[in-house]
Amino acid sequence: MKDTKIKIEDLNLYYGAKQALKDITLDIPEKQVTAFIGPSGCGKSTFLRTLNRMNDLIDGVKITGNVEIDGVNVYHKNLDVVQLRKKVGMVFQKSNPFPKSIYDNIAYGPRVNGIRDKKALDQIVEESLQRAAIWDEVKDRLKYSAFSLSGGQQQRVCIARSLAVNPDILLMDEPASALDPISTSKIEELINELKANYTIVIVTHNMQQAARVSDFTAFFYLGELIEYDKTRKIFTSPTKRQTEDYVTGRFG
Amino acid sequence: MLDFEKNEHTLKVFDLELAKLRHRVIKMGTLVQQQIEFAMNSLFDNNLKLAEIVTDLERKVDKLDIKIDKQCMKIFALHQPVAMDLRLVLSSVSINDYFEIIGDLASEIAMNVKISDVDMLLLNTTKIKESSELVNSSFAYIMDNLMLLDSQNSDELIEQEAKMKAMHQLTLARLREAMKENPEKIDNACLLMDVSKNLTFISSQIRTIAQELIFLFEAKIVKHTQGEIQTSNPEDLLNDEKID
Repeated sequence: MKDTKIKIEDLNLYYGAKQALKDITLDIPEKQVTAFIGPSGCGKSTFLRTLNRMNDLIDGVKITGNVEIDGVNVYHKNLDVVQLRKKVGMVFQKSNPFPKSIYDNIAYGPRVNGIRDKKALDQIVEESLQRAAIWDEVKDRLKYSAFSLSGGQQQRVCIARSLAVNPDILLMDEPASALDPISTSKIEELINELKANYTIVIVTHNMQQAARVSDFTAFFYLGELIEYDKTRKIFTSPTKRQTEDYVTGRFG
Repeated sequence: MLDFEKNEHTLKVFDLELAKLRHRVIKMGTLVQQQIEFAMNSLFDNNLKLAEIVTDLERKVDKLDIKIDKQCMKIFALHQPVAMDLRLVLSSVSINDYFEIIGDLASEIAMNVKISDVDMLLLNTTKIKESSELVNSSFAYIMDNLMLLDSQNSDELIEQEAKMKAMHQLTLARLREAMKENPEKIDNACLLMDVSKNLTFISSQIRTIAQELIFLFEAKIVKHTQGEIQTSNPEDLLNDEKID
């Protein structure tokens, strides 16, 4: 197994009195794709959002336990959350480009980080779009609105926007669930290419997608981590009966 | 023991497809089991009618072979099975092939009976009857395991192949001796050598089916063993480095 990038220990999360995550402990390896699977409401998206403290924005959330990225406690009171989210990018289910040009969408993060030089921004925009495998499709219309693109292209622009601030980790919350099969394939191929340089954590309801793109898979049920192993193990001979029932579609 | 039926799939039609597949594989096994039994009885009783039935059964087996292949393709294409469902469909493809080969071998025995008069005295000097009994009992185990969804005694079945090979060698030695003593018996001895060889091949196929049952029910790959049993997990098949 590669080096651990994210270390989670005894993580519990409560929405008020309701406990949504129970004693989650797992190590997410560096420059690998880790998929979270499980039925709706099992806590996988909630868990994903604990990795870049997105749950901080929700009232009444209480979190105990540790989340460490590169050995740094993400929930330390002195941690700069803006820096954390720069390091841990996120892509959502529905593509959410800003109502700006394609260029400005990508340049937004670097500008917020203080980069003003036009040449430097041009280079970041081009590199980010290339890394997101959409440069060839948009290079001649960078000034067009991002909304003029198809859903699949918009999603890749959002991935490019995340890459523009040079993160280490990409969190993806069902990034292809609203896309057609061709666009989905492009996103999956992109994930495969990006893992050479980034640690990727993906939540997906599509188990075939988890099987195709991930190296490791974690199965969640009712807020608990039931099984976490190599993806090929989970999809050929899982250890736990609940996992087997879920991946084979026997879940009641 | 693995229970495919304890928890149903959310998609009921998938359960129906898998149940149909299992039913067809068991039916295929039952037909082939009859082929072996009738082929050997046709030899022991010099019964041409039984030999003819083996040929008739062969046609049914061939049809069922194609049906099972098509159904496996359909399940792969429409349901993308994983875990134990994947193992069931993969094993069904393999076991179906092995059954079909066994059916062919039984048919060859029946064909030999149809074209020659069997010398019973010579037959009784060989180990063919013992080999036949061993094949029948091994096959019965396989069928029990398929029906009960279990791989019990599969290890023993894998080991029985060595016993079959030893009996085949004894049979060959006795038939060679008989040919030396009485060259007129050469034709009949050659026929019995073929029968003994076919029984040994059938035993090899049964051993392979036993290995498939271990894969199916215990998720372990047990194959290509030479003397000792080596096991690995099916997931290792997906590890490119290990394939290389």
